[in-house]
Amino acid sequence: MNALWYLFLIKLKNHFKGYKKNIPKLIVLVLFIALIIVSFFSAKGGNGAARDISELYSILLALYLFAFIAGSVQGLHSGATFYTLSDVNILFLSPINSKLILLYGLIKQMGASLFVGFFILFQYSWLHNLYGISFADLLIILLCYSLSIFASNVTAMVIYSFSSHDPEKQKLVKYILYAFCLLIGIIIILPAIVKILMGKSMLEAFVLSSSAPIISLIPIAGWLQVLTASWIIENKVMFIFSLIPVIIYLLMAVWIFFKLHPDFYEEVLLATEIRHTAQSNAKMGKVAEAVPQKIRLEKTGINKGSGASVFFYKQLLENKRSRILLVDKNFLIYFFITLIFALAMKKIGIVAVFAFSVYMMIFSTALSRGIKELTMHYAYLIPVKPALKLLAVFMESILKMSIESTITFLIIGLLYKASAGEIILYIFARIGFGILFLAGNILVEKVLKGSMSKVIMITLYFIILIILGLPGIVIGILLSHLLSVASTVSFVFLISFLWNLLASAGIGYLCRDLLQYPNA
Amino acid sequence: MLTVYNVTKRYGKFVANDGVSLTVEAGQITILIGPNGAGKTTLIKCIAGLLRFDGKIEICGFENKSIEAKEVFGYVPEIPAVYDLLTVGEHIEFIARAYHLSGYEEYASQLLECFELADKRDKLGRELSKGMQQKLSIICALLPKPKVIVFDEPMIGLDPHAIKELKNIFIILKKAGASILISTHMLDSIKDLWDKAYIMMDGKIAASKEKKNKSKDTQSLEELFFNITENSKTLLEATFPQRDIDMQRDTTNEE
Repeated sequence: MNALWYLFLIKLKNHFKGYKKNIPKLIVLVLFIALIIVSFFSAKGGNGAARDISELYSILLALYLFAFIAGSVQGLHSGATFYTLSDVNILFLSPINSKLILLYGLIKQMGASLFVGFFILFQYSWLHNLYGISFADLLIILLCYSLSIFASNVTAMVIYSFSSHDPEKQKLVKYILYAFCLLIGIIIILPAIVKILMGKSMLEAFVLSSSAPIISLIPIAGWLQVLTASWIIENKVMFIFSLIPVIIYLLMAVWIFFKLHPDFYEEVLLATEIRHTAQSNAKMGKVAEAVPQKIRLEKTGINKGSGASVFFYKQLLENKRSRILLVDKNFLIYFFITLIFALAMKKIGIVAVFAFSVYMMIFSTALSRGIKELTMHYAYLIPVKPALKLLAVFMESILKMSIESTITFLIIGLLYKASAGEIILYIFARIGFGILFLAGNILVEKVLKGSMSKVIMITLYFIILIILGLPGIVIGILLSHLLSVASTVSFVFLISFLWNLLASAGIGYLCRDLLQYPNA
Repeated sequence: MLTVYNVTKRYGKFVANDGVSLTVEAGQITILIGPNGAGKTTLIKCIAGLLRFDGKIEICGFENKSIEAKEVFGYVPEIPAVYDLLTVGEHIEFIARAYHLSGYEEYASQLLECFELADKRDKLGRELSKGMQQKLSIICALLPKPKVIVFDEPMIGLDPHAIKELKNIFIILKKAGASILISTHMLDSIKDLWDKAYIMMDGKIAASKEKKNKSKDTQSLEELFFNITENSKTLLEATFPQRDIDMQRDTTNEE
C-alpha cells in the first residue's frame, strides 16, 4: 500500500481505536453526539420561520468572512501548515514525491477544517426555530464554514510563500488585504448607513446591505454565502454557479503555491514549528498570548511591589508591553459582538444582553493573566504566604474585568436607556460573575488538572460554573417573591452579585493554600 | 541540607516514584541519574513543591512547602521558564522584589557577565534563544543565593562556555556550603564534580554511590549505571550485519 495512504488510514484507525482505550474521551464523544441529537429534537416541529432568513445569510457572511480573513492574514507572519512536526521530520525526509505529500496535506487539512466547524451542529435548534432550516441545510452551512477555513489556510500558504523574507512584498500583500477589507466595508457599511438615514432600523439596514447581489462577488465568503442560500432555497443552477468559483479559487491557489515553490518544505516549516510549540505549551497548561510582533521598549523596570504584590505590578508592565492600556483586543472583540447582540435583540431586553455578555466573559476569564501565572513555577516558589500570592496573582484580572464591565454596561445601559442605579447594578453583577468565573477557573485548573483530559475539564468547567452561579439567581428569585420586591430583576442581580462574591470567597478560602500545595 | 524520606508519587494507578529516599548534605553535589521515564523529573518536582506526594521532604530542616523552605530553595526546571514580556533585567528585578533581596545588583551583574547575558539586559524573554532562556532561568534561581538548589537537566541547550561556567558555579555553590542536586543524562560533563550519585530506575533508587568510597569500589559510575539500566545486548549487532561489525573491529584494530 502507498505509504501516504497507509499513514492516513492508520492514523484514522488509531484515532478511533483511541476511544476504546480512553473512556473519558469516549464519554465526551457520546455526550457531543447526545447534544447534537438533543439539539435536533428540541427544535420545534414544522418548517415555518419566525424571522426573516436574510438575517441568517448576513450572519453566515460575517462568519465566513471572519474565518477567511483571519486565517489568510496568518500568511503575513508564519504561513499556514497542513502538517505536524512528525510529518516534517519523517515524511519530508522520505523519498516520496512532494506533490503527493502536498495532496496528503490537503486531504488532511480538509478533514481538520470540517472538525473545526463542528460547533455549528449544536446550533440546529435555534436556527430551525428562527429561520426554519433543515438538518441538511445545517450540514451545508458546516461544509461552507469548513471550506472558508480551508480556503483561508491555502491562501495563507500562498501569501507566505510569495511574501516571506521580503518586506516589500509583505507590504504589498498587506495593502491588498487592507483594500479587500475596505472594499467589503464600503459594499456593506455605506449602503447600510444610507438605509438607516432613510429610516430603516439598524438591523434591517445591515441585513439588506449584506444580502445585496454585489455580495455574491466577494471571493470565498460571498460565494459561500450564495452557495448556502441557493441550497436553502433549492436553486440548483445558482448552487452550481457559486460552487464553481470556490473550486477554481482553491485549485488556482494550490497551483500557484506549488508553482511558486515546488520545494515547499521550507514554506511550511516555520508554521509547523510554531504550531507544534503552541500545542506543546497548551499540553503543559501554558496559555498562548497574542502579543504585538514588535515591542518598543521605552522604559524598563517593574519599579513597584515587594513580595506577592510584585506579581500585580509585573502584570501591569506585561499589559503595557502587550499594548493593553485599559482593555485588550479580546475584550474589544467580545464587546463588539455583545453590542451587535444588544442592537439586534433590543426588543428582548437588557437582561438577555447581560446574560450574553456574562457568557462571553467565560472565555475572556480563561485567558486572564492570573490563570497564565499559575503555569509558571515562580508563583509557587516565591516565599510569601500562599493566600497573599493568590490574591496578588489575580488582582490585575479583577481590575481588568471591573474596567471592562464598566465600559460594557455604561454603553449598553445608555443604549437601553437604563437608569443610573440599574447601570451600576449591572456593572457590579457582571464583576461578580467575573470573579466567580476566576474562582471556577482556579478550582478546575488547579484541583482537577492532571487528573483528566482537557475536554472533560472544559466540560466540567462549564458544569461547575453553572453549579456555582445558579444558586445566586435562584435565591434572588425566591427572595424577591417572598419579600414581594417591586423591581425583581434588579433585586435578583443584587443577590446574585452578593452570592457570587460569597461563593468566590469560599473557593478562595478553600484554595488559599493552592500556591503552597499545588495540584497533583 | 535536603532530605527526602520515603517519597511516593502516584498518577492514578501508575507509580512514578516508589518510596524514594535520599539525602544531599550541605556542601555536597549529588547527582540523580537514570534512563528516560525513571521518575527523576517527578521526584525533582516533588522536591520543588510543585507536586503532591506521600512521604516527607525537608529543606534545611523545614517542610519543603513551607515559606522558610522556599526562602532557601532554588530550582532550575528542565524547560526554561521565563516571562515573554519581561526583559532580562526585569526578571532579575522581579526575583529581587519577590524574595525581598537587597544589594543584589552586583551579584546579578556577576551572574549576567558569567553567563554572557550582560549585553542582553534589555532583551525581552521571548527574544532570547532557548539556551539564553535556560541561562536566565539559572540566574533567577541563583539570585536569592539558595542553600539548597536543584537543577533538572541544566546543561541541555547550553553552549560549551555556559556549561563551563555552570560547572564553576556548582563548585562555588559547593564551597559556599550549598546542597546541590543535579538531575542529568550527561555523565561525562559532571564526572569530576559529583560527591554522591543516585541511580533511579522504574521510580525507585536502584543504587547509590559515594566518591569518597571509591577505593573500596572498583566499579565506575558509568559501569554501575549501565549494569543497572541496560537490558539489550548491543544495538550495533542488531543494526548491522555481523560481517560489518567484524570489518569495523578489524579496521579499529589496524588503527
